[in-house]
Amino acid sequence: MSNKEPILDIRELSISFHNHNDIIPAVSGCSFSLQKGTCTAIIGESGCGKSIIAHAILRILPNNARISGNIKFKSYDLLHVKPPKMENIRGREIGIMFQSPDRALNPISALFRQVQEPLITHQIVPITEHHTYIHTMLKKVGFSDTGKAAYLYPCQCSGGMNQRAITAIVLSLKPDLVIADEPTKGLDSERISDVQNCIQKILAEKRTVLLITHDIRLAKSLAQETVVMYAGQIIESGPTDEILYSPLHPYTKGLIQSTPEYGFQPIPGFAPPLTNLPPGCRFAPRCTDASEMCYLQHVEPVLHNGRMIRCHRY
Amino acid sequence: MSSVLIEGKNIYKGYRNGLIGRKQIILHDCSIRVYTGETVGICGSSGSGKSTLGRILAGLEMPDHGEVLFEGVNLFHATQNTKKTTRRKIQVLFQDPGGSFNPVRKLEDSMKRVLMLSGVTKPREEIDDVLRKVGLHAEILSRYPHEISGGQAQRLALARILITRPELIILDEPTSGLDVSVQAQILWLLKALKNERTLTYILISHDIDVLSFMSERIFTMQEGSLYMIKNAGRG
Repeated sequence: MSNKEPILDIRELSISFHNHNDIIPAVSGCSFSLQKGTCTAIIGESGCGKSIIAHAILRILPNNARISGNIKFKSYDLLHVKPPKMENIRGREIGIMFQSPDRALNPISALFRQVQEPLITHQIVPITEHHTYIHTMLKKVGFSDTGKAAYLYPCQCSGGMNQRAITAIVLSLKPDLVIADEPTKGLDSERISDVQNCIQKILAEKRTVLLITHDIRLAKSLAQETVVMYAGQIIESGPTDEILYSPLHPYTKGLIQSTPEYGFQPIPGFAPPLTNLPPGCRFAPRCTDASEMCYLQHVEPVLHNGRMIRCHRY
Repeated sequence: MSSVLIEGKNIYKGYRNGLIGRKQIILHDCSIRVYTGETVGICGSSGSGKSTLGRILAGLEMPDHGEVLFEGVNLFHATQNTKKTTRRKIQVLFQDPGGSFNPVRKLEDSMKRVLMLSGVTKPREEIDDVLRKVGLHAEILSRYPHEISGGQAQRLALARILITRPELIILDEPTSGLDVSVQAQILWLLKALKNERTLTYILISHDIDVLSFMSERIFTMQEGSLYMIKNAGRG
């Protein structure tokens, strides 16, 4: 781990949703940090709280969310920044690429207008330079004929082209941190490689990427650090090579065994409902190595050979 | 040697772009024969026509030319009664299971509605039994679609299909939106159910690893035509 000041530092982040009858603890005591110019992946099952963390960073959670902990981005304390300042940070300093680019774009605006809109809002370049700037951005993300591409509507573009347009929008604001939220979900291999190229372009510009994904291959190919989440908690984190090639936590091992390379060996059972979490380790009911202590005693994260792990065996 | 369950013969399908636009050909002379008890995989990139072929084979969409024979019955030119009984034997499992349930109704209502529409009367014990087979508790039926995970929704969609006792299930990208661990669970569940109930699958996916794991034969869809790329089950 580098000693440099991290660009994003999340400490003891807990998020719960208060409904009429229930309190749903979606994220519990998560801590990790991102170094400038690197890619960090958050992996884990659907519903484990990956995207909720991204939404908390951007402060776009619904009103019934209760947040505690600390999110420090550069010198800003993001949970206490005033709304006008947050509006400026959102997009301008922290960009987000949502899943399903076809749905993230405005269907009735041409790509030129969609790249231009945030430029006007955040006043990135003078309006007289918009034409040149937008065409440069479209060229940078891989559109060869920008004169034609700029005036296409999302429905006239392939999924890969829309993904590139989203990348152009994010990059045009020159954010220091880009959050890619499940950018490859449901895409075919061609479009996955389009997304991969787009993220590599972002990293080539020395920007920082937080990659939220359940695509382990994508995490392997792009991320230097990986955070593994299960039922709202971080259960293991550290360098990607170590986490994915020699996992320590039984859940991470199970996740890797579920990949095609290991013959799709499933983890037995289901993740516990967040409204009824087990008192001990949250993975214990599915863990083949669980002891009595795992079922009963809360487990705290520990540092083991430079990796953070939350398991009674370490 | 097992018999032919479904056969698509010389299927052509195109869509017109607007009222006066040129017709874009999606399927060009596609022929496929699927035998009872096998899993046939169809791969291809997005927009290549895989799902269109799946919908035509399920009888949900008419081809421009060609025919679909299920156990020798032409799906599009049979009498209404024959069509109804034949189509009940073919079910489709879609990619977005959450989207296939009515969001404002409890899951129990969605299950019952399928039974009502297909004219099948099943006692509650049998529904509970099917739910157990797919690894779910009956308690889940008291929930709304947004209250269950993607993997649970896909299992429930499978249970809803199994209640109607189909012979052929067309699996249209059944795991593409799911994470790896849930994907592995669903694939093994599909394999177990196939052996237990002698089901036949047509598996549509862009994931060649999933297709290789599940299928005896694999076809690829290129420019609207089918080409066989794996034949492990049949000479």
